[in-house]
Parts: sequence; C-alpha cells; structure tokens
Amino acid sequence: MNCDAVREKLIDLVYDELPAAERPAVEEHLSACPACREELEALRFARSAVAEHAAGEPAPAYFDVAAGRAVPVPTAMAAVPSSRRWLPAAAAVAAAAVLAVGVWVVHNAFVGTAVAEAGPVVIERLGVSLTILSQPEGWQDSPYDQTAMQQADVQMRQTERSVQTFYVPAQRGGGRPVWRGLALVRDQRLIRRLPAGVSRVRFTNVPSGILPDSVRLRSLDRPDAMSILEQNYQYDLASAEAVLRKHIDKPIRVVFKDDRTVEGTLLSFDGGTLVIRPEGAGPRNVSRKDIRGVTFAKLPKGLLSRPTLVWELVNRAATRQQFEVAYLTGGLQWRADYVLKLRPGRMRAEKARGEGIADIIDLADLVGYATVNNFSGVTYKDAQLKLMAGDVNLIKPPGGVRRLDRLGGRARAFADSGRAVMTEKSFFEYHLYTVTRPTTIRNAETKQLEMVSGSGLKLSRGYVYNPNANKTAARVVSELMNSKANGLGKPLPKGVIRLYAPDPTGFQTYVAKTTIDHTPTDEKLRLPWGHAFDIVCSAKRTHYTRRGTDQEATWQYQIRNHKDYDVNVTVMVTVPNSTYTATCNGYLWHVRQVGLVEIDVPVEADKVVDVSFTYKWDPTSGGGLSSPHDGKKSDRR
Amino acid sequence: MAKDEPHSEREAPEAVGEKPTGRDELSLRRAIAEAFDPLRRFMYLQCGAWHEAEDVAQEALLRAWRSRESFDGRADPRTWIFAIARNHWRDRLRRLDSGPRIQGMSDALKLMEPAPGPAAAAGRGEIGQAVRAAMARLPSEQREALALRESQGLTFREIAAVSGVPVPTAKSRVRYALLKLAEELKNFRPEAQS
Repeated sequence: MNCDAVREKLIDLVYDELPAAERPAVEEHLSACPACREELEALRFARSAVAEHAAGEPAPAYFDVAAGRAVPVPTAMAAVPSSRRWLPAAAAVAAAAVLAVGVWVVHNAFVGTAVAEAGPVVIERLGVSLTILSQPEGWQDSPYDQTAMQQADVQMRQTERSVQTFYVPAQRGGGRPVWRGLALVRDQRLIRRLPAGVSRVRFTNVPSGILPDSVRLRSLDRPDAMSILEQNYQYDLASAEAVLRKHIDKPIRVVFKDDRTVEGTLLSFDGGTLVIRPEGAGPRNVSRKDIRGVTFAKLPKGLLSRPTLVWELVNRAATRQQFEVAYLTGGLQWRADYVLKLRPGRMRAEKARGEGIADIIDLADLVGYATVNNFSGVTYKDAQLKLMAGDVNLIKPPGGVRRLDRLGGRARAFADSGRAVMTEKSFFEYHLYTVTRPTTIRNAETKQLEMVSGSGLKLSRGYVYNPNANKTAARVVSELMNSKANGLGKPLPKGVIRLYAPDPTGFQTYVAKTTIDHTPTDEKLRLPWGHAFDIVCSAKRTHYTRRGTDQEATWQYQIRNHKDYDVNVTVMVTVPNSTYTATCNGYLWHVRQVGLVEIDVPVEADKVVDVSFTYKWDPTSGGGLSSPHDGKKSDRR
Repeated sequence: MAKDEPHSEREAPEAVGEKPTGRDELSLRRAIAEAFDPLRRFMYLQCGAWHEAEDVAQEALLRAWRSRESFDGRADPRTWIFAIARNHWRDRLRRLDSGPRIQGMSDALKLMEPAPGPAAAAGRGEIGQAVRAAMARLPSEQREALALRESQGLTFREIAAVSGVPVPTAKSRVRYALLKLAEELKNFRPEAQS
C-alpha cells in the first residue's frame, strides 16, 4: 500500500470503521511510515479536541413530542456516565421515561451567554430567587400605556428568541416606562471556565425595570479571587426609534403595504412620517401608516437587543465558579387578594352585649391569594419566590442588597401560616412568605398563588350610623376575629377583599369589595361592606342654648328598621372636644375617643326608635367627658 | 420481549434499549425523543452556542414529528431526523442572511462570524475556545460533516445519506475538516510543544 491509499483509510481507522480485513495492511504501512503516522495522530488529536468540545455540558434530555419541546431526564435516571457512544444506555433510559411518563416540567438550563474576549463562555443558570415587596397601592396592570404598546408592536419585528424582551415602547420625550413594585432578584449562575485575567462578562437576561445602582456581582466560590473593575448597564435598546435615529443620513429601504418599495436616504422622522430622499430626486414624505416595514443595511453599533449588564472584571482563579448577581428591579409586584364567601342563613351570638339584642353572626369561608404581577421584561423560570409583607420605606433610593435590612418601615407581627404551599418567616421587621415549590413567573403575566384559607369563620355583623358620612343610611360592618379559635389565626397581609353572598337561590353573588390592612393573628378584621337597604336613619339638632361660655345641644336620631329581624345600630356622634357632660334617653353610650361618642341602639324588627342625645361643652374648659356606661364597653366602633 | 414469537413480532412494542425502527408511531416517537441529545450536539458544533443549538434541535424535532406522515419507514429514522434538522438549520441561516438586519441580531449569526482566531485563544490556554474558533472557520459543508460525525452516533454512510452526497465525499469532508483543525490547533498538541 502506498501513502495515498493509506491516508484514504486513516479516517476509517480513526472512527473504527475500517473493515478488519484491511486493518493489517494499513497498520503495517503505518509502522514503517512516520509521515502517515503523523497524519493519523493529527486526525486523532483533532477528533478528540472536537469531541471534548462537544461532550458533556448539557444535562441529558429528550424531546417530548406531546409537549413539543425537550425535557430533562430526571436526575436519578440520568446518572449515566457520559459515554462516548450516547446510545444505548442514556437513550434507553430516556425512552423508558417517554413511554412511562407523559409530560414533565419545562426546564432550560442555559439562559445567558457571557462573552469573554476570546469567545463565548456558557453560563449555566443554577437558580433564581425572587423577593417581591408587597405594594398593594399603585397596582399596575402594565407599565406601558396601551397606545405606546401598540406602536411598539407595529414597529418591532420580534425574533423568535426574544419575544418577551421586545416589548419596548416607542420613546416618547425620552421617557422610560414607569415601573411600580420592587423585587430583589438573586440569580445564581455557574461559569465553568472564566479565563484568568481581565475579561468582560455580559449578562443579557436583565429586566428593563432594573435599578442599575443596586446590582452586585459576586463569586460564591472564590470571592477573594475576583474583583470588578467596571460595571455598566446598557439599555440603549435597538428599538425602532433608536435604529431610525441612528440611520439619519443613511440609506434605508421602505416597503409599503402594497409591496412597492422606496430606497433613499433618511432625512428625518417623527411619530407619523419619515422623510426620505431617493437617489437623484427630491425629498419625499412617507406616512408611517402606509409602511409595512423598513429595511436597514445593518444594525448600527452600540445598540443592544435587550438591556444588558456588562462587567469588566479581573479573575485570578480560572476554575469553575458560581456567581450570584443580585439586583433590585421594578415591574414586579404582589398583593394579597381575598375572597370571603358568606354561607346562607345567619345566626345570633350567644350573648347580647349590653342590653337587648344579640349580634348577628354570619358564617363564611375565606381564601387568600397572593397575586403576583410581572412586567419586569424577563421571565423567571423555576424561581424560588418569596413575598415580603410589611411596608418598606421607599423614600430612600434603594441602594443595594445589603441595605435592604437597614431600611426603616412598619410591619406587623405575622405568625406562622402553617401551610404547605407557602411558609412564612419573619425577617427583620417584615414577614416573608416563601412559595415552597419553584414557580415560573413569565413576563407580562399575573399569577395567583393560594396563601391562606379558613372555613366556617364567624363574622359578627353590625350597623353603624354616622350622620357625618351618610345622613340617611347605616353602614354594614362585619368583624372577623383572626384567631385559631375562629378557624383562621393566620397573618393576613394587606390587600383587597371581595365579599360574595348567596342570593335566595343559593347562587354566590359578588356584593362588595374593600381593603384590609396588615392583620396579625388575634387581631380583629373590620370589613365595611356598604350601606344597609332596610335601615333608614335621620338626624336633627332640636335644641341649642348658650349661657356665658357654656353651650348645650340636643340631637334627635331616628332609626327605622324595615327588616324582619332585630339589629343593633351604633350611632356615631361627633361632639366638641371640650364636652364635659352628656345624657342620653336610656341607651348605652361610650366615649370612643376624644370628640367621638358611640350610642348602642338595639332596634327590633319593623320598629322605629328615637334616640335623644344632649351634651354640654365650654370652649374654655379642657373637656374630659366620661360615660357612665364605659365599664360595659362594647368594642364595636 | 416478544421477539421469539414470530406472529407478534411486528405488533410488539420494541424493547427499551433497542434501536427504534420508526415503523410505527410509538417507535418513531421514541426515535425522535432519543435524537434530541445527539441533535443538539450536532447543532452546537455548527453554531457554537448551546441555547441556540437546543432551540434549533427542538424546532427540528417538532418539525419531524409534524411531518411524520412523510416518513416511509424504509430509511433509518435517525437519518431522516438528522436530514430534517440539517435542512432546518440551513433554512434558518438563509433566513437570517436575507431578512432585514434587525432580525439578524440572532446569536447564531454573531457566533458564526469567525472569532478572533485560534492563535489568540491559544495564548490564554483555552482549547475549547480555540476549537470553536477553528470550527467557525471551516467551510460549511466540512463543518457539517464533522458535526454530524461528532454528534455521537452517525456513521459515514449515515452522514452521506443526511447530506445527500456519496460516502467517499462524506469521508473526505470529515478528513479535511480534522486535518484543518489539527493544523490550527497544533499549539495544543502535547508533542508539538515539546
């Protein structure tokens, strides 16, 4: 065999495809010919370099046709040593999994690339944890106004990979969208081979609402071996406007809706018009409404397809390192939403308070959800979600991760919620609800997670007549004791509560909505629902005298109960602060606070009750009103 | 399994661990499921980015599954799947090339641009990056042949079938690719340094 013939065969030898019959002849030649041997070595070397390059990095996965995507082989099953020949072991396992199980959860191990100077380094995402601060006020359904959104949609062609990051609204007056809400994101990623020396690492999967000054990158494995030279946040996004701006005085091609095209130099543009000068002709206005698309020669430099964090860092340990990027971002909000369903029928409390009529008791079931809203521009896959309850002081600009626990604020003592779905822990002055399962929070998604629930809760119903607020009607107020004895006893973060009541056919009907404050266990929840239809009230001042500085007034209140059952009505009377004596026609009254008196008035079914209340005051005196009934104090407001 | 009983041979689901024939839907489904790992390696060697590779592999497999009617069951299902993936990748490149450049921001294209060159990477002792850079400089048909070969599983006969060329052509493409790589990476060879 001559050298040429042997070299043809070497490739078969490298890949073990040489028929056994030809092998001795080739080997004989190789032992005699150093040049051919060298070529074989070169081929083998190159092959092993490529094989090593391609081997091993991703976790074993298989493609699930039902799900239409690849899913990982469960780790217990995937413990197959990385074999050169991928089939059959891992394949058999994967195939067995396909036959045995249907669909697993989506999982994508690779979400970002860091571009070191010499080329890309794969960054593997290890886990992300989100701590979202509660902010029920200023709830935002979208950071964009609708027209800007539409404009953005029309102008941007979205690529397949980056649909979610291309919701870039048109730049209007240079304004960025308003981001409500605040969340702390800790994103842990593994960089297997970060070269030693100075390198530049880019993180692309960054929310648009990020607070750039809060970003911290640190190495968890070798914190001492890495120092950051520079940290940049680049968000000059390749929005349509930005691209157009960079193409002024440059050639573009405009495609109209009827497929005509115009090529020329872009002179200027605004929201409605492009001004183009075709070659050798005068300038021409083109309405953007008629345009289907604009083609640019190339993407100008310096524009990014998505917000990007760029670090220049010095690395002294060229080993695998786990990094954590922590930052605060807007665009993530959560609030508590409660649904309270009344059961049909009503009961009476065992004991009347004061004299007369016992309170009405309603039975109800409560479910509390955490509603999480993500408009941050990024999808968080399999995130560990923590929801923080308590009011954080946001007046100071949030300046970093560590500083979070120094922020002042108000919070309530929440006890353990004791549910499997969410666990609760106190954290400085706040309380954290941790969702025990990893949750995927997509961009532009509103997600609801069950937080608390209780059934058979007792609500005591009362009626409050406050002539200053409503002259003719009494407000319905339910009180719910947040205690274990009452079937609840779980901390309730601030939020919106909706009341459903059964109509006569038993159908649950939405009747009212109100908000509650942070309510710890063993505190009372007061739920004002609106005004009672069948209880009519009136108030008038019937008497006023003045003797020196002494003044005296009498008010007459009439309450007419048109219901077929007895109720208690609390009448709220505002008196001057300097009141020193008061009398009532036989009803219990209490001083709620300085200047506010409450009269408990039981009203039987279909009866009319008149209440007369007289008080004396002296603007020069210090006041100091006390009621003879304060010992029998009711705690109804 | 029931291989010993001739009358049930065609009906029986294939035993786990055997090569799927693709003749029935279940078997084809298995072949598609199993193809994911080698396919993404193939794509990775082509484009140099795992996430892009996974995307393309995923889409290609979805395509294969949707057009399963067109599979006649005579060819090897793996060859058929790889051919679909290869065509899908070529379509994608063509689309990226011809479309408005604002779409051309895809990582694929950026990565396909020849990287700074293996010599620069060699200075940093990063063989992986050097391999990537060298791969990116190969002619596309050689890169494809080598990627098919190194995606773990395809023989030269299968490569030839996927690429639609004679077997010797497939072989020589892989050979030239390897020789070119060996030349570019010679600084990493232990004996070359001594």
